[in-house]
Amino acid sequence: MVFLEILELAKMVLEVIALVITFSAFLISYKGYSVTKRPVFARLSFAFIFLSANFMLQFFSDIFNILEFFSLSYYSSVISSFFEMLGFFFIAVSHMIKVSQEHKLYSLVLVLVIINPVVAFKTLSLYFIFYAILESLLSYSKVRSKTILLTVLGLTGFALNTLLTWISEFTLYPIILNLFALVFQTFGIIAFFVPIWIYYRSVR
Amino acid sequence: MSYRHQVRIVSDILLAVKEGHEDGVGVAQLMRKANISYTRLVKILNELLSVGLIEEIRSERNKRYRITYLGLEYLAEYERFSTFAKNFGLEI
Repeated sequence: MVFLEILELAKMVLEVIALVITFSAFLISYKGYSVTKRPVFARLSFAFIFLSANFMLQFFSDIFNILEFFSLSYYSSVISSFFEMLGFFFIAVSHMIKVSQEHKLYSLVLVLVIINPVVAFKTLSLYFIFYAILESLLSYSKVRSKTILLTVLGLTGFALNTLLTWISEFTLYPIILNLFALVFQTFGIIAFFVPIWIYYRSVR
Repeated sequence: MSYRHQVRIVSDILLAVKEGHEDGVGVAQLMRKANISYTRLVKILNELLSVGLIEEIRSERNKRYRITYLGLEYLAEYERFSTFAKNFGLEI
């Protein structure tokens, strides 16, 4: 029982950290758009504000769960999954536009498993993250930047987190899966923090 | 060949002006370094002058351009945003 509570607390702490990181990324992207007026920053702004909203609602969902407001917790969880999907959608779209400008487009196969809204949104999120991972890997193969590789690993962390959360919807005892999901989410958050840290370090 | 948007062209011109240091850079040199036509370069130079990113130095024979503190700030900001986008595998 204590283990479960620690797990829940760790998850909530991570959600707050992730909220701060994604909101910082939103602020940088928004400033980038204000200065350069480039659409890539508009898309990144949308991506990071939706991801921030996702982490905030996940946090509220956990709070409602503790307070035993189960229906509120469920609806917060559904809306947060929707925002997560939108966030990763905008990251994937940025890559798709970059790819279409380079006159190459991959054929995309999508298998949707619609059992409940959370599962449906998580499925779409997974699809978008995998596409962003693929494109980021291609960018890495061109420029060989270690930070891009770290972003790829971060996205992989988020993908594995989403995948395990997705699988846990079908299992009766998802504790171990949730623990691993938490570890992968931590990794994703740390990796996403690096580009933000690089930006703020260069400002000083 | 990839398409070069206005913000990129401006940063290329500013970089070329920056390389001229205190002596400044002439139009012919800028055309070559920034890879841009005369008409377009003059138009952009006038815009950059009006917002104070560069300044004009009048010599006996021709006009030369020098980057201002504001121009250097803009260039540094552009580099920071460019790096931020690149770190996510994207381009400005």
